[in-house]
Amino acid sequence: MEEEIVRIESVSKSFPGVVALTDVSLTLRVGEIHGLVGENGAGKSTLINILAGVFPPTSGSLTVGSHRVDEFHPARARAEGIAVVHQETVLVQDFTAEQNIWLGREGSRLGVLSTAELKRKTKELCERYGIDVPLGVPVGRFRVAEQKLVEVLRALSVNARVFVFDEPTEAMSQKDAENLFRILAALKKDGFAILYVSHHLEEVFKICDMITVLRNGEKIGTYLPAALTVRELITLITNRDMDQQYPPLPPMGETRPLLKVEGLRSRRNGIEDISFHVEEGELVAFFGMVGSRRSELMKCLFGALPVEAGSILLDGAPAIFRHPRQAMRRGVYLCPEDRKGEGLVLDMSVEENCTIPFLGMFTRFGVVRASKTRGAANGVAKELAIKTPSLAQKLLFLSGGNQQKVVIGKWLIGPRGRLFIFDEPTKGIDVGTKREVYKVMQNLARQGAGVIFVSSDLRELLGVSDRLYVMRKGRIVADCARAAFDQHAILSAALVEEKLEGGQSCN
Amino acid sequence: MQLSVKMNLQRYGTIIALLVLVVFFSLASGSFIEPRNLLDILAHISMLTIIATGLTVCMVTGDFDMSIASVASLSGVLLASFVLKGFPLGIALLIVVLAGAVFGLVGGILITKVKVSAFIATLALGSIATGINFMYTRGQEVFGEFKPDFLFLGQGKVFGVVPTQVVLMACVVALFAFVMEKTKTGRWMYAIGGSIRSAYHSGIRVNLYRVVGLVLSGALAAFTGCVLASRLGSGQPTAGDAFLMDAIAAAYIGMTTVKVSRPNIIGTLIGALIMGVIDNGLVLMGVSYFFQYIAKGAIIILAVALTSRGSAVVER
Repeated sequence: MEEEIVRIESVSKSFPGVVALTDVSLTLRVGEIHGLVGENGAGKSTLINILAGVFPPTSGSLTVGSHRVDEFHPARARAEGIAVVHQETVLVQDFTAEQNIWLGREGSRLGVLSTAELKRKTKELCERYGIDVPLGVPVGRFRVAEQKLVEVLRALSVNARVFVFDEPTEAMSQKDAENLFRILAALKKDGFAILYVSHHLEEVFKICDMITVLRNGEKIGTYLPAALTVRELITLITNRDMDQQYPPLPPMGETRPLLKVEGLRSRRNGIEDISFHVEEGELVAFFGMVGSRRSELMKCLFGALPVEAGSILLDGAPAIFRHPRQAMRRGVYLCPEDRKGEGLVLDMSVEENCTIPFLGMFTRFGVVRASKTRGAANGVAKELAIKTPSLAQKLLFLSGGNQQKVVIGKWLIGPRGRLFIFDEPTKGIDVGTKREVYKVMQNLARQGAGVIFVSSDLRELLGVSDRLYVMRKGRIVADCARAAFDQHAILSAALVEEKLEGGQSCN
Repeated sequence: MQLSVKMNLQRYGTIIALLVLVVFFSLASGSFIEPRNLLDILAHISMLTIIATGLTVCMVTGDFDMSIASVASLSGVLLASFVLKGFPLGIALLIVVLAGAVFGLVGGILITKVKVSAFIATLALGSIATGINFMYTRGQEVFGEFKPDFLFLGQGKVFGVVPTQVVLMACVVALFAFVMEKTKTGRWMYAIGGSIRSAYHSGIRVNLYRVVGLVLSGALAAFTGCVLASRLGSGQPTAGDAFLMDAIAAAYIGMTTVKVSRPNIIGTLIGALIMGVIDNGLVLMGVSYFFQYIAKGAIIILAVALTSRGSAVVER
């Protein structure tokens, strides 16, 4: 057995109101690629952040080499030789590879930087590890894969011993991914330890020596890839019972067609030939991994991204919008995935936020009537049980769950909606509030609207919706009715390149 | 509790500072607190307040207007020459203010459609305004026999007591404070400044309102130039140039009070008052002209330092 380099022992982490990790232990060894898999919210990011020194664990210990780490700070983690390559790049986009790699350690003669010296040192580093990146070009022009390699080189230049990769192949071409795997194999041979976090199970099987599964903040186990099948791994990742977490779905009455999308294309946003439909009174789920372009599709429906081709019919009439305002007039409402950046004005009050979209309803000659806006905001605050000390409270000071309720509340104030789109409405909010959000969606549907529910948490989608579409890389790859919900089939469709047996549908 | 005390201190700190200044100058110079002098101060800041109100409106949506001073200079020259050519004052004013609005419109289109940054677009437009100004005047003042109605704008007194420009300032401030705080337009402009993407996804026509902000800024700059020409009794090609820095200062000082860290009209008025009080008080105390500039600079730095305290600090 190779030498241990990182030992995580019984680590737990709780945030106010949420337990993110419970008693998780994991060991990284020299010359090992260790896969870490789990659903969104399983605790992978929390574990990565503890390793990166972003925050300390609530309890448990982290040992690097022979000593225990008792101080959690990004600089300390770097000093311990732990390098984290995050999903989003942290490079200075206007600087070249060599400038980024040696940033802050350029070395200068009388304050004058030597470009040639930087280039020489970088070339040396590249040759030593067999990594090839363009020099002298701003990294902003690099492909994602090349940017990741620059981050790897930078880590190598500060004598990192342990690499953590968070979804590195997301948004990477197959060829770039293969190149990365080759480099990882070389690093492994050189005695580095690598923690590899990915949604793509084929990759994990292909390159990892060990696979650890997290679920709900707990460690399910560590396995040898040879001892598992993809199917078994999926079961380990998702297997939880559908408990009372989900409100029962009321029976659906008579349905009539509401939304019909055919051949929708928006190449600029990665959307290719999408067709689907939503009935009146129906709650339709959209599932897909990060990069499946779910959010882009929703924005196309809402008029916030341009549609290049195809048709959209709402209540039988064309419904391709050029501005969200037009969508709103037809009763199409979107609760965006980026709650803080696109749903709310954090600097404004609950009352102001709730009444922004339909402010015209509360004005006389353009003058806002405060009693009316207060009344309306009060109404939704009661209806959705928004917890706030007052309606004048700025959104900045509300919890994630209550912020989400305000985003939803905005659309309950106006004329009755025809199509509600909820993009990741339960992201980062506690279980109790999630249940309330599910109920709101189900009620809106059963009262006669169409509801689209987008999430990367398959379990909640299966728990609350009538029908489900699976997206992968900008296309719809499967369509399942509630009676035919099958986790394995759906996950395979979302994760794996091959088509399901029996074509596009899992009914 | 602690937090709210701190926030209130921040919110009212600037107003307290203004009162402290008033008390200080009253003690230092007996004539400061006389009604005549107080009216002088208001007259002194009225044009600044009007032009800074326009700047504040376009800052609300997160934009900026660097062209206000050049537009004001150009407008003063234009008004003077229109009036001398025999246009009735009302018509001449209308044409000049509309011309200022057109500058704002062009700036707004450049910013929202061509996606030039507001700073650069308006800087360039300001340069164009200056160019037109000098092409037209060849650097010479526009002077002649003006009718009393023209001179009344900047030199007259309403009821023989209150300078006309003070009344104009009061009207402009009241109107725009009302529009920004109480109407849908104002609320939506603040929403755009707060989060342009959230405003867009709430169905607000973001581009339209940004253009509106710049149009109002241009129109008010032009109006300021008109009042200035009347005040001076001639069209001076560079008369409005000094307004830019002072207007920026007033608006930034304004962001330290009333609606903290957001541009707001009443705050801007307070900012202009602070600068007017300092100017006037220092003169009365016999402090040298140069020192006034230094004092103003120090106050702007202080104001901006106060507002930026709440934001995230990268380096510890």
